[in-house]
Amino acid sequence: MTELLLKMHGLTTQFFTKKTPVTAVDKVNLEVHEKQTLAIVGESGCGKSVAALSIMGLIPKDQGKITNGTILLKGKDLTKFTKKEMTKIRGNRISMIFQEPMTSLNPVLTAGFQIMEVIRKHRNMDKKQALQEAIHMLSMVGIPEPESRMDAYPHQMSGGMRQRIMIAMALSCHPEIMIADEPTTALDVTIQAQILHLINNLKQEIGMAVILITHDLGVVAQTAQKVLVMYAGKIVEQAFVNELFTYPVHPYTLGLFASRPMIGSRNKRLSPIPGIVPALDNLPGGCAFQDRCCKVKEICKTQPPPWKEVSKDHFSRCWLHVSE
Amino acid sequence: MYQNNEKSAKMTDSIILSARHVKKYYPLKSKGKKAVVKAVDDVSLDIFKGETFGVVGESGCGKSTLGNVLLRLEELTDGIVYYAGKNLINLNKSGLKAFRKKAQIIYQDPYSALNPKKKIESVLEEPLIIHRMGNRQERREKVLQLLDKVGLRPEHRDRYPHEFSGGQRQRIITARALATDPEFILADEPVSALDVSIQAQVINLLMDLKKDGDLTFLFISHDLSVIEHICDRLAVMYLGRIVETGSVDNFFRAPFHPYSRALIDAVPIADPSAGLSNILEGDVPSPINPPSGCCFHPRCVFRRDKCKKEAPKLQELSPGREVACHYPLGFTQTVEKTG
Repeated sequence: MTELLLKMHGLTTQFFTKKTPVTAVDKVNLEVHEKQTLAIVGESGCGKSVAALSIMGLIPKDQGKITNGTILLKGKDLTKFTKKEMTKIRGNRISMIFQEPMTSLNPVLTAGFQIMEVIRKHRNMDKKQALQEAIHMLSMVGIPEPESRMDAYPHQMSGGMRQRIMIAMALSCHPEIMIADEPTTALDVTIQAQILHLINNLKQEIGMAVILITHDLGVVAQTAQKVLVMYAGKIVEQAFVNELFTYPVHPYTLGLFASRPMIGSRNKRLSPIPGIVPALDNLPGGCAFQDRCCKVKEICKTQPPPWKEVSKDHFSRCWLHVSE
Repeated sequence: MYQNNEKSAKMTDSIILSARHVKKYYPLKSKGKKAVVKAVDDVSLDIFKGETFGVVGESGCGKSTLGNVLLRLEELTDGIVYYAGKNLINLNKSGLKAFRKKAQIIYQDPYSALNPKKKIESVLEEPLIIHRMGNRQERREKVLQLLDKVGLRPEHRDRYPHEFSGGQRQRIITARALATDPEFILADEPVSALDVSIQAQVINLLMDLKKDGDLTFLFISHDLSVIEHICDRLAVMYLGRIVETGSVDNFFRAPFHPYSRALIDAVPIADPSAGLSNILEGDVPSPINPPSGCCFHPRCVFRRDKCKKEAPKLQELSPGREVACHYPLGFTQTVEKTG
């Protein structure tokens, strides 16, 4: 087994509203190992991005906070870190790329300046060294003619190019973990394939771990080793990728697979999950998925389902797995 | 070749919409120099009554502009569009209004396509009022019918858009498009903004409509798996031009154009043993300054000298299938012999 880098235990992140606090991430456990890609899958509002922001210490203070649990980075608890200490972690040891590369880059500064800024802040290099390093990073992420691209502004680049710049910035301090929050959702399919390929290659090259947040099961299949499926703030299923794609067991995971149009399934009626994702401030008692579940039982309406190992390393949170 | 066959396109009654050499150029002023963006460049196509015709391509390929131009939501720069044998470009105001009743549109973003201050009943009633359909009583009944058709409940008519989820709003927009009993619906990325589980609900709804009506759909999407699921025929666009057309079945079995192949290969497969998809290098070039010859040649792995110099024309390779490529896949040797 490769080295354990990050271990999140019982993490609960809440946001304050006028009424009651809303639990966006509810007692989530996860482990990230070296050179591994961990995918977190779920639909909008399931808490996957909030889990990532919690790791980065980027939950806005006036809106919410981590109310319980630990995030251990090689044994050190990030939730106990001061603001100053977290600044050293972000970028240096854990970095993050976002869905929309246009809004994450500063439009009035050149790409080169923005990468050099990161390198100079975090790696104490002088201007000359930083310039060399930045050019090196750009060529590493597959940008042609990196020297001339240093002077380009974000608007002069395509979406795929901008995402490469974001990745170059995220990797410039050789982080141990990169969190990619829907990194290819805003991109075209051909560009998506390029970026996924790039992330996979870089992972091998620098030996970092990746936490990939996505709603696309196709992307998961092509990149991840381990998968977590989230619904309404909780992990509902966890397995290695082959196991999950061969024997999905949780009704929500099954629903996600069935609602996906696939090439080769022409004109077949899809089986969508009925209803909509419930609002987090108005979750039903018992299992959060009960209203949309086709296998709902009496017990689901009152008792939260247990986390159960259904086969080796394959966990699911559902009453179906409990024999009466 | 059918491009020159304008008379027959006008007369064949099973063709509902046909476009000939349609162009849409946007003028640009950059640094004093005049430039044009050729958003749609010389597109000809026929859409048959009752079919679902898909247009697929990456962002910026001109697929949405094509849809807008075909319904005359934007005036075209050059070319002709016939709808049911009538020249759409010459229609006057009242002719256009009658056409609008027959041809409706479903937009991508269900959040911005509904007026937040209007209740659903008045949203659905508005097209009926504009087209003077029925009295108040009849209109109310029609609204209930429409809600039922798209799977919403009667009490939903008294609610405002913000009370609905994305999928429900997309149903409302679909109901509004159906209000005037149209023959033709342009659906521009109707499911792209929705979550996977909700997307499936809307796809099923569209497939039901397709089944039980004489509706013709022009379905625009960047998502090949959605296109494959719902369309009968399709056209692939690249940089404002159609590079391949044909039936969906044949297309997915064996595409002729290298770009089509690359698009299909780039769709991530939900099977961990499948490995990473093949990579198409490079970006879509700028439409202001397109490459010489075949627009796709800088990214094409099969390119030869001819591709850099000469732009390929859209040609019928097998019945009902056209491709714009000098060396179409599976046909390389034949073309070499003749060329």
